[in-house]
Amino acid sequence: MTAVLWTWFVGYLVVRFKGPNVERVLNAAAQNGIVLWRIERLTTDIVVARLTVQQFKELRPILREFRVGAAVFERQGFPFILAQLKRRLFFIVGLAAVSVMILYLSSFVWFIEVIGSEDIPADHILDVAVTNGLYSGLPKTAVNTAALEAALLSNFPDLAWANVRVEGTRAIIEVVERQKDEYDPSVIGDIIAAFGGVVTDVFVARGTALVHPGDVVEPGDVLISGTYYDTRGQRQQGRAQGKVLAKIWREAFAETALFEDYQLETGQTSTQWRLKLGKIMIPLGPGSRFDAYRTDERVWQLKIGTIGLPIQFVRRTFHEVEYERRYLPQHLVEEKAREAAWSVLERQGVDRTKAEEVHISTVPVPDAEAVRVIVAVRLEQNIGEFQPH
Amino acid sequence: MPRVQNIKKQFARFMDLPSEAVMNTAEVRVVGHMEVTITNHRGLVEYTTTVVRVNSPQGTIVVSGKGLFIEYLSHDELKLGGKIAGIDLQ
Repeated sequence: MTAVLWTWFVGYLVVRFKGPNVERVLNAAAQNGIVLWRIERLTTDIVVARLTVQQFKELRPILREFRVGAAVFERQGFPFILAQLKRRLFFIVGLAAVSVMILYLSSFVWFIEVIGSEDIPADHILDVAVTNGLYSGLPKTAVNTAALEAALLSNFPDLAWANVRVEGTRAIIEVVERQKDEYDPSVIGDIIAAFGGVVTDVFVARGTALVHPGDVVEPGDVLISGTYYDTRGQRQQGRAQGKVLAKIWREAFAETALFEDYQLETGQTSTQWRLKLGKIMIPLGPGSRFDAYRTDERVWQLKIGTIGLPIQFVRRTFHEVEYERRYLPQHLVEEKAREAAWSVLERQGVDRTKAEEVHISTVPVPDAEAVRVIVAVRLEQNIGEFQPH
Repeated sequence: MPRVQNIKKQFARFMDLPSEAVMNTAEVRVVGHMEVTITNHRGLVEYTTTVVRVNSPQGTIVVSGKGLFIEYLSHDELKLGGKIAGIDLQ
C-alpha cells in the first residue's frame, strides 16, 4: 500500500510497448534497475506497463536498441493533477473561496424549527426563543440550549418539557405540552345549555336541576346549578354534574358551484433557476412568460457530509395552463352541496344515524352561479356544557 | 559442480542462511491460485496471458494459467498474478 501511495505521489506513466521483442525490453529494463509493474499483455505484440517518469527517460535507449515502440497513453499521480490544477488557477481559487465560505456559513444557525406544539402557537415559542437570543444568523457556538430551555419552560407554564438542539444549520425546539385534566372536581360551576331545544330528560349527579322535561331552553340557560343543600340544609357551592337530553334542531348549509374549472396544460414550459442563501432568494433568470401557469420546483441542498448548508439551488419549471369550464348536472351539484352540509354537521358532532327528522332545502345563488343546500336535522342529544364560575 | 553445490548447501545449513541466496538457486513462492513470486530469476523468456516462461539457474520455470499478468518485474524478482493453473520446471 505504501509503494502504491508513493508511486502515486511521485507520478507514473502507463506506457504501451509495441514490437516483437517486448520481453527482451522488459528484461533489459529489469537488469538496468528500472522497475515495471502491472505489466499486461493486450495482443501478441502489445504490452502495457507502468513505470515512473524518471525511469521512462532511462528506458529510452533500451527501446531504441531493441526497436520497440513506446507510447504514453495515461499519466497518473499527484504531479500531473497539480499541473492540471495550475492551468485552472482561478477555478481552484474560486473553489477554495467557496469552500471556505460554505464552511464559515455552516457555523451559523440559519433555520429555527418548532416541533411538538399543539395548543401553544409555534410563533409564540419562536418569539420567546428570539427574545432569549436564538435567531437566524447566530453562531452555533453562541447557542445556549440550557438557558433557552429554561426560558421556554418559565414563559409557557403549559409546557411539560422543552429541548433545544442544533442539527447542521437548523436549531430545533422540541416541546411537549402538559396533558390537560379532563375533570377537576374542585372547580365550581354550572351546566348550561349549549343549544336551544325542548328538554326531554334530566339526570343530575350533583347540583340542582333548574329545568324539567317539556321545558323550552335557549343557549346559555343554566340547566343544572352547582348550588345544592347538604344534609344539614346548608347551602353549598360545587361542580354541577349531569346530563340534560333535549330535542334540538341543528342546521348547516353548504354551497357548490354549478361548474368545475379544469386546468389543462398546453405543453409550453419555461425554466428559471434561483439561488437561495439562507432566507434570501436570488433569481438567476427571468420568471414565467405565461399568464396562467403551474409551477414545479426542484431543490438541490448543498451538504458537507450530513450537514445541510444554507445554500440551495432551485429550479422552477413553469407549465402554461388553460382553464376550461364544464357545467355539472343540477342533481349532481345538489348532491355535492348536501354532502358538504352533512359534513359540516358531522364536524359539529351530529351523528347522521341518530337524526329523527331531516329537512333539506335548496336555494339558488344566482350571482355566484352556485346552489346552496340547507340541511336541518332534529335529534335528541345532551345539550349540557360545563361552565365554571 | 554438484560437489561445490553440496558444500554450499552444507555451509548454508551450518550458518542457518537462506539456501537460495548461498546456492544461487531460484525460489518460487505460490499464494493460492492467484499469485506466484519468482526470486533469483534470469529473465523473461515468453509472456502471454496463458503462459509465462522465466529463465532460472535451474532451468525454465513455466507458469500456465488464465489472464496472467506481471504484477512487478525487477532484476531479481518477478511477481505474477492471474488464475494460476500450473508451474513446471523444464
